Amino acid sequence: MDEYQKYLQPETLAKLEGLELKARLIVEGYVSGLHKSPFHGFSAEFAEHREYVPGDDLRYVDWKVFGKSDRFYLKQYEEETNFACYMLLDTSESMQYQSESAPVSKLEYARYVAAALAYLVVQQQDGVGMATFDQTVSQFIRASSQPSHLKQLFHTMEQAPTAGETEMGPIFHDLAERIKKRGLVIIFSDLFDDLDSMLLGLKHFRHRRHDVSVVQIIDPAEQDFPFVDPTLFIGLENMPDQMTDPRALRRAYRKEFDESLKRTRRALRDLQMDYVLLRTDTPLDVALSSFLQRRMKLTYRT
Amino acid sequence: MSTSLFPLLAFGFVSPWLLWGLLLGGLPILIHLMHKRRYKETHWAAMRFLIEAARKNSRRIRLEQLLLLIVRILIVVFIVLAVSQPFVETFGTYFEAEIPTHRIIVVDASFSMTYQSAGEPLFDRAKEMARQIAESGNRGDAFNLVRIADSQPRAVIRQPAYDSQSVVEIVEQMRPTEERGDILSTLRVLAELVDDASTPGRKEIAIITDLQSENWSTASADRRVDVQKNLKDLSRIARLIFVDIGHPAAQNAAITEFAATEPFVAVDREVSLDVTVENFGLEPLADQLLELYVDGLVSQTKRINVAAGSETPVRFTHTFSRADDHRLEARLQQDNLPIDNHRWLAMPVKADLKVLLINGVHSGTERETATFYLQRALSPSTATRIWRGFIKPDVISEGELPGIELSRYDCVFLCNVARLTDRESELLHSYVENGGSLVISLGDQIQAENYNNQLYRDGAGLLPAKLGNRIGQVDANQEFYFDPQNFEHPIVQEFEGNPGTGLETTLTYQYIRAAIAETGNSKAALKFSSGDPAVIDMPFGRGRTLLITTSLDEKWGLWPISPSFPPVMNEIVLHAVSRRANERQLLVRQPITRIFPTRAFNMSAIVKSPDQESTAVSLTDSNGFSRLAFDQTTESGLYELELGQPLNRSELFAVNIDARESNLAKLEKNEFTAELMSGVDFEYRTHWQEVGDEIDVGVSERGGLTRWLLYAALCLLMVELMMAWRFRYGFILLYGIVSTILVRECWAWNSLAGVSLLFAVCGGLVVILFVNRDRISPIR
Repeated sequence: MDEYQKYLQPETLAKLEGLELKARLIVEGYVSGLHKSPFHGFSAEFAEHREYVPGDDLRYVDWKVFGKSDRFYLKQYEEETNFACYMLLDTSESMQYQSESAPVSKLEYARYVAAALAYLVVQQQDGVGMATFDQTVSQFIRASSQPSHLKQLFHTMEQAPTAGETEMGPIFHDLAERIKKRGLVIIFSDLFDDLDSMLLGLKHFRHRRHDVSVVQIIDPAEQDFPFVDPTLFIGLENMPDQMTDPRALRRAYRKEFDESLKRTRRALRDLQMDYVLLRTDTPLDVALSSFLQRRMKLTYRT
Repeated sequence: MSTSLFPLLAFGFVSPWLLWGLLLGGLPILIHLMHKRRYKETHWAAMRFLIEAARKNSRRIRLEQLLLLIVRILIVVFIVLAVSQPFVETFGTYFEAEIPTHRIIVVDASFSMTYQSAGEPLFDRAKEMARQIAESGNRGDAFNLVRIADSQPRAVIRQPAYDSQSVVEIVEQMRPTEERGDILSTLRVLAELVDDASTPGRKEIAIITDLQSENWSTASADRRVDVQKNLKDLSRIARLIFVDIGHPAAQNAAITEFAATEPFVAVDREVSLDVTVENFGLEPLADQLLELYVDGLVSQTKRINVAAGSETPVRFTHTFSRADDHRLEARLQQDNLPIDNHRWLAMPVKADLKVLLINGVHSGTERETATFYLQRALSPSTATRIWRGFIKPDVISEGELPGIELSRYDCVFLCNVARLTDRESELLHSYVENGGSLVISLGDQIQAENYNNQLYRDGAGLLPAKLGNRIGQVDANQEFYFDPQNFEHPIVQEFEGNPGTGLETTLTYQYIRAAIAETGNSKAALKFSSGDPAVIDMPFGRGRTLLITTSLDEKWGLWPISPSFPPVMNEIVLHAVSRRANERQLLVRQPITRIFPTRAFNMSAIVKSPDQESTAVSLTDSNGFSRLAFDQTTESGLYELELGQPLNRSELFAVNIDARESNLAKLEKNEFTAELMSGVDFEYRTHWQEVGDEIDVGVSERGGLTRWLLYAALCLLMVELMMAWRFRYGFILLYGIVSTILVRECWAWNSLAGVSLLFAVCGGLVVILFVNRDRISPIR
């Protein structure tokens, strides 16, 4: 078990070749610490009630009905044969950023998490698709549950070009049109974009009745702003440069950044979308855990 | 009192040249600018947040950076100012000072300072004040000690002394002089001393004096202007403090003159001795005892009265029975200034007055020599009657002149000597310079050009006038009579009112015209009726020369056989030797000098001072003559010069004080200010303790900021370090330091105000901490 733990460190994974291997190691490392599959009851859709017979699992008793009728009925769920999960990966220039203290870039980290989740989904015999985007949607792969499909996904992830700035609003609109069948959409991005435009795009997914999770991936330096010496910050994605004394600006910058995170979290909560913040120095099991457990909470809530 | 118009703004630096270091204050700016150019570069994805943060905080950041820059500049500035040792007048005792000071102590050492006031000489009081000044100095103070006197050394301590104890010891050894006070020379010495760049920049001159008018407010306008200018120049560089210890109504009487009425005193002849007693005080003197001492014994006494502010002449007479140098002293009853209550007279008494007649006419007939009539006029002895006069003439021919020791003679006549050699001219010059008396009479043999070259020397020689042409001819029967010029000159004074002597009817046929230069001190004692001078008188060196422009024989006139001839010749001799009588009377610090015409190198010379101390004096060679000079005539009294072989004799010299210093009238403060210190910044005191207190206060008032500047620089250094690390922490530290200082000062001024300010400061601190509560917490 301990052997798998080490593969949960981003810096360790960075030394390995092949996303498939990394994804497997992550998942095995993660799963090895659990008693049951994390996808149990994952994305299950309620279908109908049936009368309780002795021996049924009491977890599925619909206590609301009992409260109204004094009779025991079980909830029945749809089979997951139509479940599809789309990984939307932001490959814009800002995702390339990797600070000195970070083990991997944001994009690399996003790949790890996306790959691990895709691995998990395929293991559950569900379909997983993928799209990469920067200025436009550069790659779109329809969902499939075939294991070989996973290889293609991993390959696409690894080879996806990175360039320029991104404008997520129109891209989400575009993707929402392409992903016709409702499913789970997981967005991996640093969200350094106009929030309103992005929310508008996300609302399109909502309109399509997709279940959206937003995983914001940031570099530790972007949150901590640990710089000391006077620095010329060269803007990515056509942002202007800024020359400043970081020590004088640290508090203010953090305040701005934290407030931005709060706004994003609040806005996504209002849209009833899942939001996870991940730093690239976070071990992958923690990353997966924070995402999957939130998914579990959401599932039980419904 | 300081006359500064802007005491609050009076500011200075002890070492102002160090202010060039203020240029270092620009260093933080330079570093700040250079630092800005050295930066790191990094790509940054979260630029929007950075830009927004910079936009919202740009003003605050600029202020913080500016404040930090100001703090850094102030650190450098404060350090440089501190090193330059600034001082500020009248700024309260807040800035206490221990600034090294260049202190020059000036003590009036003229003899008026020996005046006894309240049983203590003023000089002792001055020494006590000087000692206090030396002892009150701070570490690092440099001292000079100067005395006001008439002679060197005026700077007793010329090289700055940093050990106050050694200064005190030298002060203790100081003695008053018997001299006057030469203020101008002392001020010039002070100007040299303050210019010493090795001493501290802050200067103080304390002049302890009796402010005697005679010394300070001299009658000469030019000299007073010089004194004023020197004082003004000094006041610009140094703080001037005058300590006036003079007695306001000092009573003093002094013997101001003591002299014989005749220039030549002979044995067994009564001589009159005139003593002048002057009362400088405001009270009349009655029944004062005046004594005459001859050779140490009281000869005569008199009781005199002298009105206030006036003088009384007193005459003694005495007959000397022995040919020798006699010691005379006039002694007045003692008062508070005893030094001027006696005066000395060195009286050489001779058996006779030796006169040398040099005959320039060689003739077998004595009557035809140039000295025949002259000799008889001076000593008319006959075969049967010996003249008992004291004038004893010796006659030599001109050829014998080089071999004669002229100093043996009181007077020398050159009678119709045709020409003089260089050697003879030198002999005569040295003789007259040394106090001898020379009378030159002309005649038919005179070679005027030789005389002009050898003796006139274009006015530099001993000949009173330049010789010109001969006037008159015997054959032509031209007649010239004497014009006595109103009998003003001593040689003809006795003839006034005595027409029977025939002076004005004396006939002269020929003479040599002599031109008296307009500049110079030749004077015509007697003229011819033509207006040309007949007898010309000129002091030369320490002696005198007289020129008689006609001959003393019958060839050029009838004067030698005229009844006026003997008395005039005798008067000429007496007048000629009159200067010699004064060569023995000197003032303090005037040197005893003698020139001996023989090469007496090996002659021993010893001077015995009034305190019986003997000093050997060596003779120096000067153009073939032996010269003796003794300048240690520091005390008044009789000095004895003992000359060994071949002269083997001793001579007395009387050294007296300059009686002008006996006038103790002083300048009061307003007179002093008005006459000498107009427009000059100075302080006036009458006691030192008061000065000492004020100087202590003044030292505080003129306190340096050095220590406070260094403290401030140290605090700012800590503030800078804190600000550079966490600006708000540094700001709070600065707030705390400034608040502490303000509260402390306010408390010292008024405790209620201090408490109020303390509460206000604490409240302010609470507000600052509350406003920055989030920011002050440690960074995650």
